[in-house]
Amino acid sequence: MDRTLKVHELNEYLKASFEYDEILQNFWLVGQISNVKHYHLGGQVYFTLSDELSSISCVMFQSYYEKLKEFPAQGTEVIAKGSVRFFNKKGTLHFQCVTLLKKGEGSINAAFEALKQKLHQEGLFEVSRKKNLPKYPEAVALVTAYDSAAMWDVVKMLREGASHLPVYIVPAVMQGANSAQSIIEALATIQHKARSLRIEAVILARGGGSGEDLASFNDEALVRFIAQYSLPLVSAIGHEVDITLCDFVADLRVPTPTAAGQLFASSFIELKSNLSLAQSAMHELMNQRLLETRELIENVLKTAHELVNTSLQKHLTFFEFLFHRCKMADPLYKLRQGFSITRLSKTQEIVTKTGQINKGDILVTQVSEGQFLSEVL
Amino acid sequence: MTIQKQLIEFQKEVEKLEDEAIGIDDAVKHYAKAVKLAHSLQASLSQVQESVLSIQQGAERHAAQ
Repeated sequence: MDRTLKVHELNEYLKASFEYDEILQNFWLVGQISNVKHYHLGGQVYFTLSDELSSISCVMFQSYYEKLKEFPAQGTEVIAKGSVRFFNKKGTLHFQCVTLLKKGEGSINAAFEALKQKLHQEGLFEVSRKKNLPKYPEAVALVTAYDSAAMWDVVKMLREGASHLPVYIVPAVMQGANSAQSIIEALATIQHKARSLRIEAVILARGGGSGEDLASFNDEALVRFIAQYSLPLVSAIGHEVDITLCDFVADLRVPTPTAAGQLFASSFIELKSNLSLAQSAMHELMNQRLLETRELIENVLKTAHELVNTSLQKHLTFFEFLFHRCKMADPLYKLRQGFSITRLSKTQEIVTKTGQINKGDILVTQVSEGQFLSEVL
Repeated sequence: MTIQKQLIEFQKEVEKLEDEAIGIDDAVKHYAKAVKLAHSLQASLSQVQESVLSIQQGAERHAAQ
């Protein structure tokens, strides 16, 4: 089927095609440098790499260019690392270079690549071999040069975020001929003491440097020692762009020593934050329960009071009613109204009929206050 | 004795007093007994009133906290 594309559609497709092609990403390219042009405004360098049959336009951006000690002169045989990029605005293709080594340096890199390949094939870099890092270790050990910037970067981050965490610093020589052996000895010491000191993770840290400075971290013996190491190990060597074989074999690679400190500190910071949130939630829940309980008690007391009070009022009313009736039935009540009780003195019989009395009988009449005698005439 | 029982007893005494057939002497005796019961009832009712007041004050204190 015929298809019509606009130019920008074609270029976007080409750009994506190049960027998704893994073969064209992060590879080494050998050639001779020519046509070097520095663009001071953007900071990038344009040049051409050629061999006897072909050539390709290359670009190196300022952030990578600045890392070079010097840019190779025209005609120099170089080995360049980078990726193929298609720039869709102009429809041009470049090799975008991130590292550039002279041919002599290239042999070092070739050795690095060969060893990397060999160890990779042996499975030393397999993800399945990597140990999980404890999120909340009881203690960590740090292998680095004593009093180095790398040491203080790690210590500073841990002091800020996890001040309770014991950090055992095991000094080692971090560059030069004896460096790899020194690091192996430091790691072995930590492994030996790990149980008694409760060390649960190790940081291997070094600041940035040249390829030569970092060469120890590509030492085969050191890489193999780390591969069989019993403790989880974090590699924090150089800057973000520096990659060593120790980074591949380590259980975790972080770009800088500061990042290694942050790695463990952030776990504890997060834990503290979660604990604080949980504490607040518990406090709120307890307050809520307290309020509910208080309300319940208030209701129970109110209901109890109402019930008892109602019952009491009924009893009081009935009592008052009875008491009134009792007062009305008081035998002396009639006397206070002026009635009296008359008895025959002899028999104390109450006189209710005239037939009960005879002439000469003595009568005792009781009134409200006192009594008096009288004789029947 | 519960207040309820005391009230029933008091009521019986009052009813005896109110009986027209009762003699004055019996009336005096029953009246005396009724008055004694009334005093006892008054004391019991006062006690209950105090308890009710105490519950009320407790509830008010709880609400104020």
